[in-house]
This record gives sequence, C-alpha cells and structure tokens, in this order.
Amino acid sequence: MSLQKTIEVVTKLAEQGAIKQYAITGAVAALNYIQPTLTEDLDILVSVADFEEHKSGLILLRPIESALAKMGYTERSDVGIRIEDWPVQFLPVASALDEEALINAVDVEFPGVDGPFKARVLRAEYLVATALKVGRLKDLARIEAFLDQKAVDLTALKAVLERFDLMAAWNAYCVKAGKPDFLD
Amino acid sequence: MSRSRQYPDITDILAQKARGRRERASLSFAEKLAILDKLREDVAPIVQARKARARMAEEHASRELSAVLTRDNGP
Repeated sequence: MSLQKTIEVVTKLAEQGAIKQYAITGAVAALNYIQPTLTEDLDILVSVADFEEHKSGLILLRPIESALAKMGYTERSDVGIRIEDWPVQFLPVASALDEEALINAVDVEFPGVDGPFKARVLRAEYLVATALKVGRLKDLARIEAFLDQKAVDLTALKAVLERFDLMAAWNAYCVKAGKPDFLD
Repeated sequence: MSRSRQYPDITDILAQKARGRRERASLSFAEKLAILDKLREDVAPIVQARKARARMAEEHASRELSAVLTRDNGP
C-alpha cells in the first residue's frame, strides 16, 4: 500500500473519463516542492463538472464513487474514500483561485510499479496562495517552508496574490511571521 | 543567574539544518512519497492511541450526560 499507488488510481479515474480535470493539492502537492511532512490524507482538486449536482444545490460525489466502486474501492473513512489504504478527499473547485490553479497544474512523472505514469499537481505559487487564503496555523507553517526552502517563484507568487486580492493577507502574514515583505 | 554568561554560537547548526531541509526538498516527488509512507507507518500506533483516547472520552461524556438526564428527569 503506497501513496504512489493511490495517486496512480486517481490518474486511472482521469484516463477512464470519470474525472475530467484534476490536480493533487494540499500537503501532498506541497511535497513536490518542499521537504516531506506528515499528512493523513490525499486531497484532489476536481472540476465541478465532475460532480453530480442535486436539485437542492448539493454537490454529490456519485460519479467518482461509482467509478471507484467498479475498481474495488468502496470503503469510506472519516476523511474520504479509502484508496490503497490512503483516505482521499475529492474537493470541487470552490473559487476563482482554485479554477485558475487547476488549469495551470503541471504534470509530474512517477516511476510507478507497472511502469511510469504522470499525475497533475498544483504549481507552488497556487499552493502558497491557497494556504494564505485558508490561513490556519498549519497553512502558515507551510508558507514558511516554501519560503525557507526557496521552493516558490516569488514573481509568480506576487502575480497570483495580486490577481486574487491576497496582498493584504500576505502583508498580515509577513507581520505575523516577523518577515520583511520581500515581494516588494 | 549571571547576565555575562556566554552561550555557544549555534549559527552553524542552524545553517546545517536549513541545508538539510533544502536537500530533502530537492528529492524527487516519488522519493518524498516513499518517505511519507514510512512516516505514516511510524506514527500509526500514536494515531490509533489518540483515536482510542478520543473514543473513550466521548463514551465517558455520553455516560455522564445520560446520568444527568436521568437525574433531572427523575426515574
């Protein structure tokens, strides 16, 4: 049971057309850029078109769940659907920032057990912008890791923050973290 | 406590730690996923113990609530 295998299953969902647009997000996506840190689950950002919308307005996971069930993954955990022993959460695009982040996601190649495969991962500047927007302590710690490990392109980050009105949040983060505003 | 006490300079240690973080950051995604699998395996007993404690606390709270409701509503 490995996270790589879990990611491979997600890519198979995309190959089969069960999800149209997806990208790995959250702590696992951050791993593409910064040193490994512990996380409990895998977050997958998915376009809204991949969800079924109930007439009440509720967004349902049914199409993805059905495809996973056909592949033998039916177990749910408190944080998502269990795939190869990892809880996976499928998160619909919920903002313009998510939407742009999904469009600009990059392909990352994995060796794979049965041969190499590619999976889509959010770019560093979008992960930092999202962490800034969410703003929990663990998100701020993640921003710190990106900066400390020089893992984000500051020009690209500034452009994203300006486009999504996040400069005030950035300035507040700099004050809280005791950092000079090096995006200036 | 003396104010003039000398403390060691740990600048080198901190720089070495920062270098280590950057080196680990430069591993391939697949290598980092393998590290994460191992980390998760290592902390699994701690996570399970934490969940068991939370379950026990919940059961205890539920018993306490039942006792209060029984007392207030009478037999």
